Amino acid sequence: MQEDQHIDELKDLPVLGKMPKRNPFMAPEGFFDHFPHAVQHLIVDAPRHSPWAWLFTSWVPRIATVLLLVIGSIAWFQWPEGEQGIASAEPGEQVLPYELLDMEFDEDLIFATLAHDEPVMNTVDLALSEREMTAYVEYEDLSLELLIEEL
Amino acid sequence: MSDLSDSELLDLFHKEESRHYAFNLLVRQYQERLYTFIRRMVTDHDEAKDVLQNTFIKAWSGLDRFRADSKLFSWLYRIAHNECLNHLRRMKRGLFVSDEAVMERLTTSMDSSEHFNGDAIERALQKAIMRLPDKQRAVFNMRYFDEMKYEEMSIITGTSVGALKSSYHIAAKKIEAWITADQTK
Repeated sequence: MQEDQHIDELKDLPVLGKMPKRNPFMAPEGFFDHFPHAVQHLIVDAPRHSPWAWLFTSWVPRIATVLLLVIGSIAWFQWPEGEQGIASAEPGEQVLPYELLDMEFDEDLIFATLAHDEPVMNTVDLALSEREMTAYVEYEDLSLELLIEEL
Repeated sequence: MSDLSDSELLDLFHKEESRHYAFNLLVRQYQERLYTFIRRMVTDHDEAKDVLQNTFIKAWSGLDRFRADSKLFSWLYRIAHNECLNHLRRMKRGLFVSDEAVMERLTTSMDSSEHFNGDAIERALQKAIMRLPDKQRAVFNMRYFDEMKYEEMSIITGTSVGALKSSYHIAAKKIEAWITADQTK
């Protein structure tokens, strides 16, 4: 059936229809005996398909990487100055001791904060009643001289 | 040794210990048919060898993904077909030359090759085939020489059966006209 169809296709083409279908292209003597060895030798170095190959062959991860870099750069330069590179934990978030080893600290900022000459007490804004204040002083057993000096 | 079926080859290939052996069998089984197709496309033996090597290296890299939806030979043929077209495209781009110049080079390569043993009429036929655009030449070779079914050609080329039929028809008409013109000169 297939052959008949093929003959039909050539019936209006007398020259082509009469042509011999011999293969005139020859390979050198022994080529097909040696070729499988040559291929075997080459594929030893050729990587087999890995499940992660798409990362290196597909355009999607490449575009995603470029986008990520661009967005990261924009975010870095848009971030308010002084907050870059400082490790911080959200209020109430617990930072475990071993995590501190991986954190980056802005040493200049830490020293600047420690060198601040305003008394620490001034930064605490507590609204205490007179009775609460008296109870606090009695509980802490603070000396009167120190309190007068501080105030 | 008789040829193994696709499933037998693939079963062997999927076992780590027989993977290389299976691939060696696969190369032995299909190398000649693929070489003939590639050689008709690029004409020069050394270039055909390079394209055939690339075809099998790509097959090695992708055989794990082959899901046996089509025949193994069709899949290999598809790789070879794409490799041929890429090779010819690179040739044109690398040499900064036109289709006519590439055709001239292919013809010269055939004429000077010691591995071409066609007579005058076969030489005339090959020269006429070389005048076809690359994709049409591939279609003509598959259909005329390999007598491949259009459905299989469609899988290999990724083109519809209708488009392949008309492409082959046009190619055959052109070749008939060129050979007739050459004979009347």
